[in-house]
Amino acid sequence: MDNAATIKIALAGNPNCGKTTIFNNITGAKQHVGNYPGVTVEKKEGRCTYENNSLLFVDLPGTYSLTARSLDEVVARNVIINEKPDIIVNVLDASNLERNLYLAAQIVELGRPVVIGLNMMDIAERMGAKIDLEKLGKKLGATVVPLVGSKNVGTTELLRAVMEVAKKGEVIENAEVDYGPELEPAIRSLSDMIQKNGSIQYPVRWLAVKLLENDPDVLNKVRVIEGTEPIVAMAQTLRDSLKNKVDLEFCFAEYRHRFAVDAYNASIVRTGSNDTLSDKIDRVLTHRILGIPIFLGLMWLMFTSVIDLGAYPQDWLDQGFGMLGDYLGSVITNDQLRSLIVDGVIGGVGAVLSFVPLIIILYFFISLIEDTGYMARAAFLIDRIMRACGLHGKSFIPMILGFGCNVPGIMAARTLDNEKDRMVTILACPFMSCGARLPVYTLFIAAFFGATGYGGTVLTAIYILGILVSIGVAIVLRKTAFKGETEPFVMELPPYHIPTIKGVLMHMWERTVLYLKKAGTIILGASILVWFLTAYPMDVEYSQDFDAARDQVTETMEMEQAAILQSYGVQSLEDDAALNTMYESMITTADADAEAADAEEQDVSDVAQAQALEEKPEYPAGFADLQASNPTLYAQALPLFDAKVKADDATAALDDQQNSEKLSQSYAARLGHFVEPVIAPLGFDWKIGVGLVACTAAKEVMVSTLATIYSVEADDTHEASLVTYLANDNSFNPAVALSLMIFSLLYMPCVASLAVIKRETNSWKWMFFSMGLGVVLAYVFAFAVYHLALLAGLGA
Amino acid sequence: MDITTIIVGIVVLIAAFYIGRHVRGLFKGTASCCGSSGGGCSGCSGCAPKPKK
Repeated sequence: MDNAATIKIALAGNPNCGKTTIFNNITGAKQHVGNYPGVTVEKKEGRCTYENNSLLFVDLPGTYSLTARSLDEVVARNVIINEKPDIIVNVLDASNLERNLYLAAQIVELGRPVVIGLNMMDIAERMGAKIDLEKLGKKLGATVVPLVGSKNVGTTELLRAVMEVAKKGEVIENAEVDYGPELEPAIRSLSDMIQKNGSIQYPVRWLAVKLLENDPDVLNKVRVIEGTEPIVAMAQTLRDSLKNKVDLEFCFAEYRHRFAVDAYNASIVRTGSNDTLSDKIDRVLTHRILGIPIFLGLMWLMFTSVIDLGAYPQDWLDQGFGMLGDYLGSVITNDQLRSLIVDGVIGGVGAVLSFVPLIIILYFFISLIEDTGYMARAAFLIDRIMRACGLHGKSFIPMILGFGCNVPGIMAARTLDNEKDRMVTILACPFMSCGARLPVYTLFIAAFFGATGYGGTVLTAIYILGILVSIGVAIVLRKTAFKGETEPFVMELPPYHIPTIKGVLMHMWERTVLYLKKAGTIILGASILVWFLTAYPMDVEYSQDFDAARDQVTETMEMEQAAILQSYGVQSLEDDAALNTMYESMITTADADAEAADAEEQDVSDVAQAQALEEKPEYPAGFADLQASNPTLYAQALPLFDAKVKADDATAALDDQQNSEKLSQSYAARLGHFVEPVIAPLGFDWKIGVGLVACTAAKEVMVSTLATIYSVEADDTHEASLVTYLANDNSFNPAVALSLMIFSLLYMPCVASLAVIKRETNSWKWMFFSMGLGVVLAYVFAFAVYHLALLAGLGA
Repeated sequence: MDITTIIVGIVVLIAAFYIGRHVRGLFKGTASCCGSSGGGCSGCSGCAPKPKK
């Protein structure tokens, strides 16, 4: 709640000038920052207290001008004009001062007190530039505070300057842009009329300029105010008369540019080097021929590191959750509760949480790429391809944001001026592979490609396919449903920064917390629902009486053992203590061997390991010692042991069959079997069908769903990892894994993305279109990949 | 109906209610994609900054 003493301060400036970094420094917030333009598309508010004064900071989207051409510019301008902040802090990039001053020229016109935050002073100094802050302040009519946002330098000085300006109250000392002899008389005449009218609350001179510029947004706002018809009419008359003398749009821009150049020339003591280190690096990284191969190489390196480095901690976590499940399984006696906790909660959420290390490593690399400025170069490289296809290059920035999460990517389409480009970007963005899909890929890569050493290559290929499909969809939409002229776009490449450890760690921490939050809320909820659907109904009709069948197996074993004992001339085992001891020793040795195998090897990490386990020797190694101790007794006890093993195997098979029959009659199986005929041509069984339905809540739910289904189906004595279950399941093979990964990549967006598409397009139609497009493309690509993989021999 | 069935039923109903409320919140802009409420999806990384002194 605002109180009367709260001072409202708007942070405005060009894209990528460091507003959000300064906002985070001041307010302690953790808003996402990146070294590329267009990261902030909505206003964000944060508070701080300075010298017992309550300050409310509003972080605005970056804009190059206040002409309100795109939605983010409208957001920035509306805050300044409608909400009338007490002070505007105009953040300027000192390493790119002249261009930043163009927006400053428009901000000083707004009639609000201004403080200039001259950010990135370290980069300007490194470039050899020297700026006279006092002269710059005089030219703009504002206090100038030097800042290094990335190192939190100058924050206190900025707050002090803000308080000094606040104490002056409504005394405006801003400089005025001189629009020259042609425009100034018209501006004055219109200003006088606006002032006389008195019913408009906007800054008078700014309003006169905007009306003469024929700004549609301002014109509409003025028209709705009663009694403003003469003002609108006069503005039209003045425009008509000026049109014959000058090009109005060009003329206003020209004088603002002159103001910026004048302020720059007056304040710059020494210009920086034109050929900076960034330029030298760019000559290689954005090279016309080498640029794309370098980009692909870096992506491959990143994903290979994610897969290879992340596999170890992921395995430890997986085993940890397995042990937790085993422990809780032994403690909770009630069958229903045990299944809910062990199969539903630990099985489902644990499977998703075990991927946290991979998420941390992925976002470590993504934050490095973002903070260094390479992300902007990647966009620049793809921009060349996109422009060649008639697409707006700016579209790729939202798409690249989609790598983290599609939701901010879709929202970042607001930076596009052209409505058609914005719509195309919104609809193409969900095909970029977001972080939520990573657990699905890594799960299947670990199970089916882990031993091949091509895991990183498979993952890179999937991400690249996502980029290609996004661009392809954008091309088709731009040439069909959203046909029209493309607007020119000049891409800004920010200078390279050395990422700070704090910045990288903060970024990784934010994403990890989000992932954990998601696992503890949506994924937990979805896992419980999937468990319910999988474990119920409890009273199912079995094909046979399994209890009777198990009794029959025990009876048969006892008869076999009795016959063997009779051949030795013994009535029962108790009658021959030595034989009984040998038999018990065999059982103890076999149990110990099985336990050791459980602890060490049962959780296989891929198919090859599963096959190796199947080829293990018939008897445990410890049997050799028993044989050596007494060969005769060993030979007599062995048939008895074999009969017991045969009975145990038969009982286990009956247990499996009973579990399988119970699962096949569950609500989940009914749902899965309902969709199975449609997805069978892609190599998917009913379990994947359930996963595909459930993962519309969140992409990670595919992993938790499969984990829950396999956990419910398995026996309760040992909770194996999902990779083990998948590797041992005959309905899965590398071809199915590839098909499912492609399907997960292109399948309809998650419900959060769909909701944002609905909100951003303000249309149910486009939301359903996005769903349909995803399903169709996923089906077509997965079908093609599955059958090609079968032809390549990956179906075994 | 035993007590365990009732507990399991309540847990499942809470999960269903939460998912339903979350999806509704996403469309209304009152829930974020990470599951926390308030601020809409753009507020994900922000998560309501605390005042800094």
